[in-house]
Amino acid sequence: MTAVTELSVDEATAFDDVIRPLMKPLLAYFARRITPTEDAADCLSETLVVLWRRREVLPASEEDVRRWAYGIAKGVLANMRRGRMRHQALAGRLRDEVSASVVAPVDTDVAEALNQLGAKDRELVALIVWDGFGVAEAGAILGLKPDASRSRYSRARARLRVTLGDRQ
Amino acid sequence: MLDDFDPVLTRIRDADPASRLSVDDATLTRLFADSKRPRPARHRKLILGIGLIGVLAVGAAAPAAADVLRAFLAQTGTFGNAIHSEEDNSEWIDLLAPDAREYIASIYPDDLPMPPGTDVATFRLLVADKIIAAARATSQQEGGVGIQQQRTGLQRSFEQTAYGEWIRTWLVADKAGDVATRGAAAAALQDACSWPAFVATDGGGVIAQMQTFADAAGDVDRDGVQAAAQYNLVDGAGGWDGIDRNWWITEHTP
Repeated sequence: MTAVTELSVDEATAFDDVIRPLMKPLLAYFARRITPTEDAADCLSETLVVLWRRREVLPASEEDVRRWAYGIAKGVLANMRRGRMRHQALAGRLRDEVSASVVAPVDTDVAEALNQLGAKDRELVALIVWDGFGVAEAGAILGLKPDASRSRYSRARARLRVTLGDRQ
Repeated sequence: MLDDFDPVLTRIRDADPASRLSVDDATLTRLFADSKRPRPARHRKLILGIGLIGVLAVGAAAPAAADVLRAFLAQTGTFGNAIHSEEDNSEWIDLLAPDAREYIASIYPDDLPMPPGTDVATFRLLVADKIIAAARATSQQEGGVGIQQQRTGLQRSFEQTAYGEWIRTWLVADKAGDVATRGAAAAALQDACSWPAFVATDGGGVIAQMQTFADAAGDVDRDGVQAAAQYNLVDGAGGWDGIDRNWWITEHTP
């Protein structure tokens, strides 16, 4: 018996219906955070494999599925970076820096402004502004409580407003 | 939700690094279908025992107490996270540590069935040496990088090597007309489908593929067992005869 046939037709269809539309957003998620683009594609592929293997715990609502999928994507991304770090035999401090980085935005002022934020705040902003999550959802992906997410996001926006306001 | 009227957020949104990303639907469709397919190629990589990052998702229980105890320098104290695509939650082992050989030999699964006449003490050191030699070669090729592997992956190497020896035993017994030994080997190949490290690290379709080989052994299908030898790189005396039997694997891939 193959892995595919262990799932009923309805369940397999449900998986396809909710995961397939997430592919482009997930690819964009990786493309924002890792280069080259080939690695983003590898990460997407890896994420799909993990999602498929863990399909028995597929959440019921589309909203939860999306958050679940991005949580797995976050882990895949961390593994990819960790693999690179092992590969490059770099020190822990550099690992921390890289693990928190995002690919440079096309607007250099924006890139600089984002880089002035702390790693978690920067990722929170990216999840909200680029990946389209709500504040609480984005915070949940990062392991933050809703109140903490809101205060961090508010603080980050204020800092960005000051930084980018000086450069308009 | 994003405040569309906030000029700062609008500017950040417009600077999205993924804004120039384009991918066609056909590529995504193929990628999606591939993610559900059994992966013999990945298995082959794992057979070599040097995969740095496994991709299995199994239960993410806390590490067993025995695993937490560090008795060897090779033990990194870092444990995998099964939810996030590592093999499982077992410890990462430094294969270049001075006592890596002793560590690997120490985790030999005592209940692993071996063909009659196998010297287990020698076997466990041979497997350890093979893993370390491959790790050192990889490190050298890559400019001196560190090489780590999860404990479960190392245990899979023991299972993988024992599995190969049972394939060899079946082929030799079949050629010699030794029905009893061939039957014992067929039973072992059947049993191998439930060996713990194989099951824990099945990236999709590996156990199913092993089941086809076990069925072939039980049915006295010599081509099938030769295909198993080819697939599992069982070289040398009594192993793969060098004739390509990918056709058999293709026909019998679940």
